[in-house]
Amino acid sequence: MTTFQLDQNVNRKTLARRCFAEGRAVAKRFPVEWKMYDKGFKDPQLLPIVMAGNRPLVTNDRRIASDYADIIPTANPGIIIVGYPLGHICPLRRGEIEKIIWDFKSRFPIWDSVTWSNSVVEITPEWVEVSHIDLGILNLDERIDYSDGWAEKLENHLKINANKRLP
Amino acid sequence: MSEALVPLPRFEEWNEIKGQSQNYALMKDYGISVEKIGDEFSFQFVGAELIDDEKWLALRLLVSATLLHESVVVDPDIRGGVPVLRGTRISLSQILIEISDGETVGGFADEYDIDDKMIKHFLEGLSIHLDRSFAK
Repeated sequence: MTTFQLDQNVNRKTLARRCFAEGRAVAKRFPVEWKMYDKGFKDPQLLPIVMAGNRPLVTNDRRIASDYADIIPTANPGIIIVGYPLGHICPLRRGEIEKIIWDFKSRFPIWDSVTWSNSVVEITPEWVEVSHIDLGILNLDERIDYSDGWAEKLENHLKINANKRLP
Repeated sequence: MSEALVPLPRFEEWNEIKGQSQNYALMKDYGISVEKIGDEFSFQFVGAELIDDEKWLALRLLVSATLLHESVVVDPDIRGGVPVLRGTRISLSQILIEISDGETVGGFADEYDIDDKMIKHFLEGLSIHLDRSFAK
C-alpha cells in the first residue's frame, strides 16, 4: 500500500481520515517535528527529507517543483500538486482539495497501483500535467486533458518516468 | 489616560508587564508599551496623556503592525514568498478563502492541526489595519 506524504498546506484531518477509511493508501499527515520552526518549515528543509524517502509528496504549492528543481533529485518518490488551472481567480476553497483529489481518483481508478516515482504531476479539475526532473531541470512531459485516452497517456508517462535510467 | 478611551484588541488578558520577556516599547511617546509574553500580547498604558485622532490612528497602526508582524511570514523559501501564517506552510489566502466559505477559525485550526491563536492575531491585525479611512 502506497503512503503519500501530505504537505502542511493540504494537511487536512478530513482528507487523511477519508483516505484511511477508503483503505487503499495511507495519507501521512505533516509531522509534529516539522512544525517546530518559528517561521515555518522551509522548502529547502522539506524537500531533501521527503525526496530522500519513498512517499510521494502531496501539496498545493504549484511552484515547489519548478522553484526547487535544483535540489530535487532526479530519482525521487514523486510530487503530486493539487490545484486549479492558471486563470482561475480564487484560491482553493474549503474542501476543494479533497474534491479535486477524489474526482481524480474516480477518473483514474488505478491511482493506487501505479508508481509516481520521478514524476511531478499537477492535478486540476481540467487537466493533468506530467513532468519530470532531470539533473536539476524540470521538464514537461505532457499536459493531458480529460478526453478519450487520457488515463492511458498518464499511465504511460508515469511508467516511463519510473523506469528512467537514473544517474 | 483611561483604558476606555482607546479601543484595544480583544486580547485574552491585559497583563502586567513582566520582567524577562521581550519588550516592544514602541509607543513610549503615547505612554503605551506592547509586549509579547509567550504567545500573548500585552498592551499597557503607563501614564499616557490624552490622545487625539491622529495619535489614535498611529496607535492602532502600531498595534496592527505588531500583530501582523508576529503572525505573518514572507520568506522566499516558504511557498516561494507567498505570505504564510507564522510557523506554518499555510498561505494567508488559504485561510481567508476558507473563512469566506464558512469555515471557522477554530474549525480551520482543528482541521490543519495548528494553533488558532496565530490565526486570530492575523485576523485581528488585519481588521485593525483596515479600520480607517483610505480616502484621505
